[in-house]
Amino acid sequence: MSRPEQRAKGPTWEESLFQAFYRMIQTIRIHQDNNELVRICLDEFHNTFSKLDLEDDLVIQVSEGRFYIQGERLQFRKQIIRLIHAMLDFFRQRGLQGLRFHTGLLDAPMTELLTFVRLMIRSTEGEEPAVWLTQQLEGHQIPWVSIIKGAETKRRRIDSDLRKRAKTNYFHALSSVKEVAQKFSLQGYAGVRKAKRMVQNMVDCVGEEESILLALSSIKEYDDYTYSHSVNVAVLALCLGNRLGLSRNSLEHLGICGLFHDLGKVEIPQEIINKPGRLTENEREEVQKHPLASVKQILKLHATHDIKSKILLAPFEHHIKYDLTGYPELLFKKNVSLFGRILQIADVYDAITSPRAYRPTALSPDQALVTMLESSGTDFDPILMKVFATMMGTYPVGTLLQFDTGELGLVIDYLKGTAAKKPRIVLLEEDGEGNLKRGDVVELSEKDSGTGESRRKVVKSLNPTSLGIRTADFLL
Amino acid sequence: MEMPADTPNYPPEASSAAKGVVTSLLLAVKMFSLYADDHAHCRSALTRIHEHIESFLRDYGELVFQVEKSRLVFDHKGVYQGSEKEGDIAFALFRDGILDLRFQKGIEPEETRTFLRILDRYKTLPAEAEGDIVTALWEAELPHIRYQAADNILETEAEAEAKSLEKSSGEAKGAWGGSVPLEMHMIAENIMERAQGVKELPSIDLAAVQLTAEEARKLEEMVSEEEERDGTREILDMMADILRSQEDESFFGVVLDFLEEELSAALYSGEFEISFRIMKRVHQIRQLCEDYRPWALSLVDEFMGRISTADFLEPLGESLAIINESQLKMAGKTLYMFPSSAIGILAPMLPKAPSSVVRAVLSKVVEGLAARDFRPLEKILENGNEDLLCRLVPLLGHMKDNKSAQALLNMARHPSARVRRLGLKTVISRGLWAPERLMSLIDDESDGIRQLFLKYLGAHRSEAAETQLLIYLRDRKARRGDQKHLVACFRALGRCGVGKSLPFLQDTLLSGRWFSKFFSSPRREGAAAALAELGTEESEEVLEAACDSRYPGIRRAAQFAVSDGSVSEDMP
Repeated sequence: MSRPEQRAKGPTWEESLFQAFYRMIQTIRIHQDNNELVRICLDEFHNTFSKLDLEDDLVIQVSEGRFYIQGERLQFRKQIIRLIHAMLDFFRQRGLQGLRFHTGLLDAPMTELLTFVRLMIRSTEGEEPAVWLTQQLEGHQIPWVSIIKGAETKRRRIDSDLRKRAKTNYFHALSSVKEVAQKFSLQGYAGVRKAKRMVQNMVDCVGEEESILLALSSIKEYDDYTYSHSVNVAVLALCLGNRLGLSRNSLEHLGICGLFHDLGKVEIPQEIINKPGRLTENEREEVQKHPLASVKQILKLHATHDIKSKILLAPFEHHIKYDLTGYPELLFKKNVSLFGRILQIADVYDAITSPRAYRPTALSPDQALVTMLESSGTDFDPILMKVFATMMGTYPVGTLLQFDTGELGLVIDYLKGTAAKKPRIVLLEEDGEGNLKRGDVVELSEKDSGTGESRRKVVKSLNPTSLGIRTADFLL
Repeated sequence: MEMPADTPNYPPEASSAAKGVVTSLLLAVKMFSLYADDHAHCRSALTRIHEHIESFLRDYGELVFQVEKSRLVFDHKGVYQGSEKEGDIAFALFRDGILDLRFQKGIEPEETRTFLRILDRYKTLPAEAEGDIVTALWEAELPHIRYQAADNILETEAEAEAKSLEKSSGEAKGAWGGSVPLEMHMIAENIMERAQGVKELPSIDLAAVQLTAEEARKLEEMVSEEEERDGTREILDMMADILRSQEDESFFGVVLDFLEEELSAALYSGEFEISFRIMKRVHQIRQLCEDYRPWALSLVDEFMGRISTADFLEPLGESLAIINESQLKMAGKTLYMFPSSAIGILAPMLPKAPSSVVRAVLSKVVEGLAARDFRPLEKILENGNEDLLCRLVPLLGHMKDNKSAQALLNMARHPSARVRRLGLKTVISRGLWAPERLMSLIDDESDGIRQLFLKYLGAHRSEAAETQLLIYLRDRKARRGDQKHLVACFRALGRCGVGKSLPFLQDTLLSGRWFSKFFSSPRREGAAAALAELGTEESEEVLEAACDSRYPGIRRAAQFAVSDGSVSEDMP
């Protein structure tokens, strides 16, 4: 295998190539094909590859938990360790042992490179991703790359396993938040072990199957609103954080922030919590103390100073707007942290899509997004809001759609590798007893083969709760 | 949670190699619990277990242990039998839900070390722990140590705990649950109000929410900042904002406790920008509380008291030794904001200061704190050892107040000659004038101190000094036999005298027994020298007369003094 000359300083050529490769996959995962950033990242990878001036193939291979490029081990340097772990997961999930890029890549059109990356991302759809990917590459006539399959190419977890595990995690997370809150009420302190484990599990899930978690976050529990709200906020924040490319450890802290952001509500008197009407000025003031109270509770957690430091800020900030208005009032603090801004978006989204005992309607998920986008730049960080909207899609998972065919359908997920633009819908059918049951699963983008027109057009979107539909019955 | 993989087929002899790994693992965990990581015992235990693992991997491939309640199983055979109690390795792994543990080829010593640390830390789990073996392994991301964990253990625990919580109080349950009015969420409430009555809006166009290249770049920056960020500064500002408006005394105290820990960490890791910020914020909060929250003042004062103790401050010496000049400057600014009681800890660091620059900063701090309240320094000056006092006395020279002046005068009369000399020098450099207080130095056992004191007395005209010297010389208290000292005393008298001593000097020069006037005498020579130093018309007249004396003893003394003039180079 040929090796380009090593540069003396800065990142090695292997690292530059690896970074370009990683960035290309991440960007294509998040953005649509026509996004400028996608073009930039494709160019970057292509240029990096061309500059190597290789005489023969470029081989990127995994062996014993390490990446090797042209047989040279990629060092676990601080700057790229996060990337390496993410890529190890990416390869592992697809049963890939490596990729061999032939020099033909130099002449390949960018659209082919884009197709290749999309196929790699989508490959987890198949039972045996590496086999599926090989077939797809042949089908798309992409000759400049070949797959080096691992010893174990069979996909380890199929969707139903993931779904089951995600669901279990969700409910464990719910019980761990409940437990912490109850412990605070009764004994004045609590540990974070279980919450931490649940969040770690969720972080693992979010890397593998975002849409399952997003589906779970559309569960709205009437009776235990604050608990399910906390878990939903954690889930939404984790999904957004994952989209942004945060490391596993940062995601862990972000998730714990989500679970505990409303912990301070244990201090709000029951009569206010359950008051059906408008709050008086005093009651509002009482309520507005809860971000501070959350900090107080977090400080009381049985945890090291280090972890407390990492999970204090965002709960404090989650009611402070992007323009720094909101509450609590600030004198010393001059900005809102990234975690705080993420949490705030997740928090508001879940709040306005959740029904209340005194107001059973809520905004439909897509309308919630549109309305939130209007407040971008004042209430919300405009960049994060865009990423959030892209992540949720035009019709977020859990949106109830009414079609021109008279059908009702619930968005259950998105096709993988499509940057969240093609929702899959479960049609809701009457069971003859006045209830709705699960019908066929269809794609919104389905066309009528005769007319070429969309099979179904959306007439309007609804919040499932407005029709008394419990999303959990159809999504889980 | 890691996922299971198939267990390899091992040859029969692999069992004994696996047992070898377990034995060395147990020993290594024991060593790690008894000694620091870098201790020779730990190092050799680490080497041993790592060699065992590598050797196994080389010979038989992946090493897999199944975990049961109190034992480790390898290839369906028990290779370790422990007990079902905290502290036992197998039990600890089982307790945290680990089903199997896999060591894979490529494992590096650092991974093994981290694994041992994790086992040591979590083999016993306290109630309400922060994490366990699984959470720690997850965070450590060891590429060649994999595991499969189940969460059913937590479920069982959760059920048991839920029961006990319900038992404790049915009422408390759900204190946080229920339906929360939307009004609790101001932003959400505003959005809902805005949305009400508005016709359904068109759904979002995903193309419109794509990030531009510039936004994507900003986002990347935001994320990498977040990843590398030390959020301490923001947390401190947050804490300050909380304290500013806090009416809850217990919460105020909790926040101060947190700040205390932050301060401790910052001081000992040499992050003096942070420590400075903490101190600055606490002072600001104290000021803000002065008018309407007296209870807060006492909490802040308690905080200040805690951070000024030996336990808190003594380890600071180590971090001061390794920081650069700009950090040192910041350290000085931080310490300057400590209460004066910190002098009790900071001052004793002076003799041990690792460099003159560090000493200079510490000295400045002690001086600054003493200027606010002199009592802590005064206490040390009363009891401090010679080395320490020699570091502290110069500081008194820079101070302006009366207390420090008094302390300095005391130092000039300290039992230690080193301290006395330094004290007197500092008295002189500070310009303190107290001849009466220091008169005992005229007979100091040290030549140097006596000479320095006479120089001090003769530095300027002073009736007080003249009086003291007159008394001393008239009463013939001068050290017997030390003629040089006697002459020096007379000279000092001449230098400080304002005329009051003229009769005495005239008498000393001219009078005496008839016989003695024929010979030289140190008193007479001293008086002549003093008259020359006095330099008044009257003193010169006396000297002139003496020069013409018919007694050679008088004449020679006067002539010598006149010719010697007021030359003072040889004066002490």
